[in-house]
Order: sequence, then C-alpha cells, then structure tokens
Amino acid sequence: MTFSVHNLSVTLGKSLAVDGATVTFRHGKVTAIIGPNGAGKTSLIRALVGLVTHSGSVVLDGHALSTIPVSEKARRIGYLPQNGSPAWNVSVRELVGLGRLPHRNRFAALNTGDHAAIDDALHATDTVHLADRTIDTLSGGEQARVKIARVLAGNPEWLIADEPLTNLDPPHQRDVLALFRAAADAGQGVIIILHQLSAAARIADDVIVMKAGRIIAAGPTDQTLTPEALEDAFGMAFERVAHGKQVAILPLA
Amino acid sequence: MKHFSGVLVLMAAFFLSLVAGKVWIAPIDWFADNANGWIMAELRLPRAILGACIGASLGVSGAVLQGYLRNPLADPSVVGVSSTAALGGVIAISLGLSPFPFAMIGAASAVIILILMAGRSGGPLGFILAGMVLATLSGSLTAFLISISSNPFATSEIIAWMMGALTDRVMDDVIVALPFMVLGVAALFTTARSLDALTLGEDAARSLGVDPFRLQWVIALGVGLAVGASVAVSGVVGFVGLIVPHIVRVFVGERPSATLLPSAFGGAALVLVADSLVRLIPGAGEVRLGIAMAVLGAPFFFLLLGRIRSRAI
Repeated sequence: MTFSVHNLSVTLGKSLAVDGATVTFRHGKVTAIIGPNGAGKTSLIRALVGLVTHSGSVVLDGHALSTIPVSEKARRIGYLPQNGSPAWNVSVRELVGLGRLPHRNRFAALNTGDHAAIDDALHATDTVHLADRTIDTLSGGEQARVKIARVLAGNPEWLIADEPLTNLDPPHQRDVLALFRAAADAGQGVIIILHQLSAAARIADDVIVMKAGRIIAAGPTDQTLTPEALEDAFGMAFERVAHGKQVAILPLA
Repeated sequence: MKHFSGVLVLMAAFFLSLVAGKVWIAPIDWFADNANGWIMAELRLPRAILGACIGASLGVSGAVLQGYLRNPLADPSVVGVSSTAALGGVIAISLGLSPFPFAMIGAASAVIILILMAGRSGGPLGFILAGMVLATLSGSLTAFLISISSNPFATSEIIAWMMGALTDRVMDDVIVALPFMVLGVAALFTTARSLDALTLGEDAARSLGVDPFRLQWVIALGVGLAVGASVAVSGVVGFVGLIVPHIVRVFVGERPSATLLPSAFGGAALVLVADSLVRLIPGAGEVRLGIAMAVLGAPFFFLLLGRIRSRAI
C-alpha cells in the first residue's frame, strides 16, 4: 500500500506553499516531516487529505485521491489538524466517537462495532478513565491524547497529524510518540509533522526535510536527518549526539 | 425514551395554549356545539398548531446555526433570513397585498444571496458576514418604506405585523405555512452529523467527509424555508432561536446533533407558553407576541449567561 505525491504544487494566495514535491510514503512506517515555519509542511499534508487545491497528483494505492469517493477517503485517511480546541464542551466519549462518522450511515446510531472501536481507541491512548468527563475538565496532555484517540477510533489506513506534540511536556511527548509508533507497528501508515528533531530521530523510519516549499531530503531517518540537511533547512548548525541507543539533535547557538 | 420529557413539556404547553385565553375553555367544551367549541376549532387550534410549528422552526434553526457557526450567539436573525422575509411582508402590506408570498420571496432571495456570497471556498465567516449585510440592508429598507408610507393605517399595520403575533390566524394559514416549515426543518435535521464533525474544526470535519459547500446550502435552504414561512405567517418573533438551544444544552449536553430535536420541542413549548401569556394579560388588545418574547427572553437569557459564566470561571 502506497501513498505518494508527484510534482505537487500548492498555491496559497500569491505564494507557492509547496513547489513541485514528489515523494512516496510507506505504509506501516512513521514518516516525520520537518522544516522551518512556512516551509510548506502543513500544505503538503493538507493536500494528502484532499483539503487544498493543488497541481500535480496525489495517488493512494494507484488511484488519484480526487477520484476516491469522499466517504471512502474519510475512512482510509485520518487527519489530526494542528492545535484548536473543540468548539463545544462535549464528553470525551462523544468526541472520540466523532472518529466513527465516516463509518456510519447518515442517520444510524453508533453500533457495537463503533463502540468497540471507541473503546479500543480509549484503551490505546490510556484515556478510558476520562471517558465520561467533558473536554474542558481535561489537562492539555489529556486533551492531546483524546484528540489522537478520535483519529484512532476511525481505524484509518493512514494517520496524518500536524504537530501533535505542541504544548506537551516531555513525558506526554514520549507517550504520544509511542502511540504513533504502535500504530505504525500495527500496520497503519503514520505521517506526522514534528518540530522536535530529537523526537523525529527517535520515532521516525523516514524523514522528509522541507524548505521554502521544496523537499530537500527524503528517505530513511539516518540518511536524511543529518546535521548538513538540517543546517541547509534551518540556516543554523546542529549536532547529532548519540547517548547509548538514544539520539539527540542539538541546535548549536 | 430519551425525548420523553421534551414531548411532555410540549404537550403541556399545547394544552395550556388551547385552554388559556380571555375565555377559558375546558376540554369538555372543545367539541361542543356552542361559542366555545367554535373558538376552539376556528381560533385556538390553528393558533396552537402555528405556534408550535413556528417555535419548532425557530428552535431548530437556532440550534443548527449555532452549531454550524460554532457560535452560541447565532440565531436566524444573524443570517438575514428573518429581516428579508419581513421586508417582503412589509412591501406586500404597503401595496395592500397578502404578506405571505412576498415574505417567502424575501426569504428566498436571502437564501440565494447567502449561497452566492458564501461561495465554494467560503466558510462560516462568509456566510455570517453576508447574512449581517442582508439583515442591515433589509432593516434599513423596511424603515424607509415605513417612513414614506402615506397611509397611517398601512403604517400601523406594518409595525404591528413586524412585531410578530399569532392573533386571528386560521386553519388556512396553517395549511399554507406548514409544508414550508416541515421541508425546512427536515432539511436542517439532515445536517446533524456534519454539525457534530464541525466541533473539531473545519479541516477535521472535511477530513471526516463533510462537504462544506453542500452543508452551507442545505442550511441556507432549511433556514430560509422554516424561518421564512414563520415570519411570513406571524411576523418576526425573536429570541426563540437564540435562547432555546442554550436551555436545551443544560439538559442534553453540547453535542450539536443532540440539541436539534429538543430545540424543536423547546421552541414550540416556549412560543405556546408566551402566546398563552399574551392572551391572558388584561386589556382591550393583545400584547404582541414578539414583544412578549423579548420581555420574557432577555432577563432569562441574562440569568443563563450568568450561570454559564460562573461555571467557566
């Protein structure tokens, strides 16, 4: 199963947000997209979800994304946008249940399969004990896990997340990364935008480095997440530090 | 039964609306062959049915608009449908014609303009801005028509009509208005799941399969039919669409789809109770329903806001 873009360009207003990107994402792997602010990372993944008009092609398993019916697309691709609190103070269970919408008929209530998927998602994100609480009673870390549970509940083939670690402390970052790793190991394709370079080094199988709308490096993590590529992308020096099995990427001020 | 209490409240309000008035009519007199039986069949019953339908239309429209715009201050007046329908009615009255078809044309033009202005890429922001411009424009044109009206009877009729009332409505009014309201409310109910998805924001909702353009025109059409017909038959009755969804959320939670049916029951009950009170206030004429609703609704809404604020702090 593959998900790829060919010569993809996205124009926002008068500026070119993504400029001729070509890349293939691997199923069952974690792909991290990194790059400075405004590099076109969000536009790239919004094109993958079909949220933005573009030139070039987005192809899912040999079919152009635009030819796949909306409901099927919604079942196969789960998308977690950047930040943003839910508009209404619903319960955790209701929020996670929204991930089941693409699987339900228009007026059908949640069936046993839906409830099972919601329970699984709550388990996976360790939020079972929060199920009956409302969103406004949760901490930032709890909210982040619940939002991921919402995407997991849809059980999509592809999980696409935009900066899912924002506002999380180190232990919660670790937990959220472990969730994405587990999803990939369970066979889902995971594509996440990350600003935490050390986290990318630790979790990602593949890394895409973007700069000014272009992909300047793409491939296995140890070949792409190099100090040279990072310096090119961010315009500052980095050092890769190995600590046992762990790798940290430090910006050199 | 989840909606049992809602149905119960509505039935109680409907009963109250049938018995209460300048003349109290006990159930045994409802089918009597006398003046009371005539009042029941010719006046009270159509008035109660219309009140319930108008209340349900306004309640559901308010709940859908608040869900769609993700804004608890939204109601049918912010998208301009009420005021364009009112303008249509006012034009008809000043020409000495029946207001209903003209008010529906007014509502229809609001719907068309809303859909055109909001456009394919336009989100809720374009929708609400277009609606506010429509509301302001038609409000001004209405005031202009009143100011140039040379006939003082027409002027007073216009002002009375705009304030909203169910006085002297007959079964023919029900038959004309009901199909529009039923169609509109039915269209609005189809948006339930899209509104739920919008809780997560526009991008997430689209990723869950919501078509924002389709949603926009279904809402414009539904509100246009339901609220347009309500205004056309009773004038402008405010506050219902604003406060009913808030009351409902206290009982059923904030998930938009869960508020729709209770808002229909609640809106119907509120209008029926207010319209009964209007008939009970002593005096030669009747207090206009729209005014009674505002007088009842405003303090109630302040109470509610106080509660919401104290909970948030």
